[in-house]
Amino acid sequence: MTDNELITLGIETSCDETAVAVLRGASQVLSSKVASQDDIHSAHGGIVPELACRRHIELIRPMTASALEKAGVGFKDIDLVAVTRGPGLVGALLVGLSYAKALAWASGLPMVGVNHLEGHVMSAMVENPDMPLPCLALMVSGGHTELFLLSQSHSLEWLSGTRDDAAGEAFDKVARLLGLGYPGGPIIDRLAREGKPVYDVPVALKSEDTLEFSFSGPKTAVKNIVNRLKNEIGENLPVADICASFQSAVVQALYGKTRLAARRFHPASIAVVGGVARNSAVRRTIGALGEELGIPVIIPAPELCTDNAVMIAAAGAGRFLRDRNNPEFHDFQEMDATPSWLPGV
Amino acid sequence: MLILGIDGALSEPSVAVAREGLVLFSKVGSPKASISRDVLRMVSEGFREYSISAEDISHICVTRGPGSFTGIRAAMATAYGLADATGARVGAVGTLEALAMAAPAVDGPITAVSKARKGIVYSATYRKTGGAPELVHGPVEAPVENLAGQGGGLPLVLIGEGFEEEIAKIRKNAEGAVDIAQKAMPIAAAAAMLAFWRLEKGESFGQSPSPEYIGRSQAELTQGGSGKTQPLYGG
Repeated sequence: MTDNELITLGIETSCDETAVAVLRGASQVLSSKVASQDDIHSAHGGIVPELACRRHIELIRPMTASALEKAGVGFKDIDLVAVTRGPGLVGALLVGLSYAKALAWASGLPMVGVNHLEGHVMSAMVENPDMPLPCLALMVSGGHTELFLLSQSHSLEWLSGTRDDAAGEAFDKVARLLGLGYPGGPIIDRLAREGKPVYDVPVALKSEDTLEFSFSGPKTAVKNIVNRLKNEIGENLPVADICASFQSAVVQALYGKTRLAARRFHPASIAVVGGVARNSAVRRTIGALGEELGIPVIIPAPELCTDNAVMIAAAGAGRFLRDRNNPEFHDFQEMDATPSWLPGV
Repeated sequence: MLILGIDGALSEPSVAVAREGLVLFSKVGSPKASISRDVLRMVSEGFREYSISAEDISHICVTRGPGSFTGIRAAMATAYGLADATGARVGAVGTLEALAMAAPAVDGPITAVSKARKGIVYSATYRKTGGAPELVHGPVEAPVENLAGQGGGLPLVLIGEGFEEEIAKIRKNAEGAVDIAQKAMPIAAAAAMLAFWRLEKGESFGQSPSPEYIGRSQAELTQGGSGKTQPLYGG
């Protein structure tokens, strides 16, 4: 089978999305199915691991069947299985990993255990397979805010992360503080467009010569602003203006550290990936960084920013095609989940 | 008829293969090992040792709980994957029923026990009359010391896990004698045997079983209260 004929089944269950995709070659998407659990977790204001795991085991088979049907292929047509091995919720990872291992082993197929964050970075190459390398990747989601450098040999080097909350986590916490619901990112993004950033929410570590992020300070600043406004004007808060102020601080932090890293490492491109890359201000502001630096900025389509299995299949297929005979792809019976796995460290 | 049994509900995962009502092999993992790491390795080793190919398996029977939530799901996901690859039918039996099946013959009732969480167990009482165990009471989720009342004046025979540390208290409070039965076979083998008997009787085997949790999750228990459950944030 040629590289372009490889059929990869991708499986992702690291958090609260049960996702299955079928890919041909390195980047041709034959199908992508994602079952979100937002309705289950919204009552709790965040993801409850046990409830997420219960949903994954209900959905893993029907989602796989649905993805195969949409792709027009059967189990016997699969050449490679790629599955998220970590990081993530251990119980959630084990559902997808156990299913994938058993399926691959009993079918006599190779299997690649993919790092979830590597998958997000590789999502930028699904629509842009010729993305110039090295690429500076800002991976920003509810669980992570990291900067990576993807080399010309496709190896990842971790550059920095957050000292406290992830950016998406801060969005969710601020949304909960304002009583806006879950997930908070899309709600704050929508409200921020109706407001103005009139409140003083600090951009953490703005003037420090570090690539690290911090979002606990902006979150606390919003809390203090809310408390002050409640004392001054009561419960009828200017929510849109608060959202605009908070979002502006987060986006400025992401922009500033990405710009600093670009000046330090001279990448040939920049990629912004992860769930928070759906945010309109993030896309606009960091997108503009490309013009300033004279390099392309690649931000995947929104459906590739949130957790999905296309990115897992793409990362797995890429690794397999570069190194088909790697023994770890063929001897995976004892592969275990790795809940805390930061690549490229 | 070649039946693969898989259990991940107890602290020692196990796998077994039964052919026409006889156990060909069974393997038990370490309580300290990861279920994900152990289960497929044991299946792979057993198949290699007994020259079985995955395609030879006609049925897969997995224990559906109650027991370790994570273990049940990992075992069930493994069963699903094997079934989808081979076309084998997959069904489930209760963990406590399989435990009772794994018990040696006793005259009176036998109470099967699995761990829920600290100080709490799942239990059900069965009567064994030669064939499959018949349910007398349960399954219930209750404090481990409540097992003392399960005998109802008869000798109390316990099998399973989660009660060892409290056995002195159980013995003190029970009305009759308390015995601990050792498993005559690993629970995965018992599950495979139960499946065989059911299939022989023409009973339904199912095609995509679901876990049996019995108790509510910690998240549900704390929802709306002060809530110790800490939500995580996506991605």
